[in-house]
Amino acid sequence: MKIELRGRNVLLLVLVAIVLISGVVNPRFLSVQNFLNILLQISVLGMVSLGATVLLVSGNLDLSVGSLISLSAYVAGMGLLRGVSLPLAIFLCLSVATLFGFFNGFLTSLERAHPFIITLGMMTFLQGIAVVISRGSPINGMGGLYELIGIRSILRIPFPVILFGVLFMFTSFFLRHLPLGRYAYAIGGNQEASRLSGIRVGRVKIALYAINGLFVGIAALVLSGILDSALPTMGTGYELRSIAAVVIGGTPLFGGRGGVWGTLLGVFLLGLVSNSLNLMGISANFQNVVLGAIMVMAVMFQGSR
Amino acid sequence: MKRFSIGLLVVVFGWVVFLGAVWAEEKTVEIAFIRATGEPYYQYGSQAAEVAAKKLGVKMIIYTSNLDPAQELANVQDAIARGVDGILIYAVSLSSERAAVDTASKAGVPIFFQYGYHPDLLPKSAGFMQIDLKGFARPLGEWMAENLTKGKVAIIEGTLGRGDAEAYSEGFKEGLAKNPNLTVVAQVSGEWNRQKAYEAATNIITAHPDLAGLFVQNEDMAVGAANALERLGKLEQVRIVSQNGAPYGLDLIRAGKLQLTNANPPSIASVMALRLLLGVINGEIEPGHFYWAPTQLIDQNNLDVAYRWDAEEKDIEAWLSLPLPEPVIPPPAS
Repeated sequence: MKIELRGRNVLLLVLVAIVLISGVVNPRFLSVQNFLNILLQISVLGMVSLGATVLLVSGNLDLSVGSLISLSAYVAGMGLLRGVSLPLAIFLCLSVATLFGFFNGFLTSLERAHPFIITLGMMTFLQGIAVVISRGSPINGMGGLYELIGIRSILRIPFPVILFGVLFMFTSFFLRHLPLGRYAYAIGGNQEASRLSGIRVGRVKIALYAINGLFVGIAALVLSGILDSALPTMGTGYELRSIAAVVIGGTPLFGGRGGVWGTLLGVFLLGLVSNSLNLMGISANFQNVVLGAIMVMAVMFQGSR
Repeated sequence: MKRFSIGLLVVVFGWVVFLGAVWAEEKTVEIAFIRATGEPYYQYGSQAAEVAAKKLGVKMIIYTSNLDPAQELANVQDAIARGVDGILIYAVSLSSERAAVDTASKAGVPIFFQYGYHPDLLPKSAGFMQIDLKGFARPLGEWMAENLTKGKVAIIEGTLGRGDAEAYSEGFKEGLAKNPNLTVVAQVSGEWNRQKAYEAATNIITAHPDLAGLFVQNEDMAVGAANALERLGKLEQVRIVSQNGAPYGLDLIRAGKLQLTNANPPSIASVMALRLLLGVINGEIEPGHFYWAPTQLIDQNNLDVAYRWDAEEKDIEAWLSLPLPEPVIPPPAS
């Protein structure tokens, strides 16, 4: 059987190479605990990246996810601080995130500007709200959320990892088997043709952005649970890292193809490189050089397909 | 495609050789130095600690969290997985360390914090060292209260949201309150950024052309603010005070553009923190204590005896024989 060295295969090869090299250099890398660490470290980015995948296959993107993480996590924290029950705090967080996702979708569906500009504006807007309502102060202690998500494990597997696994399976099923998922690919492939074939493009976009918002809300809960705190700037950077993970995984920025398995590899690559460099004791100043070079190589390769 | 594969193999092979050489080094006591960003403050802190570590026969590995609390926790987990003997950390925020402390204490690895003090976390840590945020800015307000008779004062703050910028403003105002004829007319965020501070100073002086005093919360921003005032011909009129004692801040004082700074040199603080952590690792120092970080008010009169951020090797060597800071007992309530 001839195995072609292209696309996802190369990404897998790079991942295997990193695992082998890191394992040789520092045997602790191959410990079960370290793999659980890696899985925990990538779980939040993974959740955000799943949402980004749903949008990117439809040719859309959302730059406001980082600010939305900060805002929705802070809303949950404020609720807990004021004595609301844990389920209500979770509901508030998910509602805020989904609502703003919906709003992003609505603005995008008007097609007055590119989603890049719309969500860039939204990013600043949401970050501003987060700073205003927090008055710049972090919330220390998330109470029951920390107990539920931050420290709980099932069969040694941290709860956030299990949650990421469930979301991953859902997204995979959603994109492959549900009409909305298939419409996402169709719109990403050719929006005008999709419209002519009867797909209500505007509504589909709104739904996809709302789903993305829900994923962001879940990621916000998990992040604030793991860190046992909510900060008005805690989501900064997730917007670009999630898009990078999706693109490294083979979903192009203009949409129409790609999927969650590639995204999983992209997220793994980012998490694995960072972890292995740390375990190898590579200087922090040098780490960004290596990480950046690997990202550029991976994306260049994806682009050459 | 073939060329790409060959290139990939060459990179992988090179990596193996390089990392093999790294691993071949003799195993000694290892400390992970986790810093919040790669900005000058943390760079100078980690560089001084590296020099000190070398002289003490300790291997030091530097991690950067890029102001991301999740990355900070990942760094702590990775350092523990690597098998370090201790962790020295500049926390990203004033509140996100609980996960780091829990992780480190579960693994039995001592973790010493520079900044981010919380009394609940103290017993689980190797120690905390930081400045009193409000107390640090208070003398700068007092200086203005004594040196300005009356008028308008403005503040250019750092990024809001971590708690430190807010505390500095509060402390400065407490000191300033000693002169009731001084009024704070503007508080603008410069986001710890020189360019933003330049713009903030321009806007403040446009709104208040008769401004008498300006408190800028770090000297990177002070450079921007002083440039803006100089360009607008207001540098003689506005008295500026700042914080940190960075090399470019000392240059501003030397040039007469900055009147006073309160320095918290990351260099000597990191060296002292490293020595305290090593003491805990070796069982010579009791863990779980709080220490004040070294600070120094600097004006034109004592510029030459200031602890420098960019300390030379001989200075760092001398710091190794200075007495260690005494623990604060009882530790601060918050």
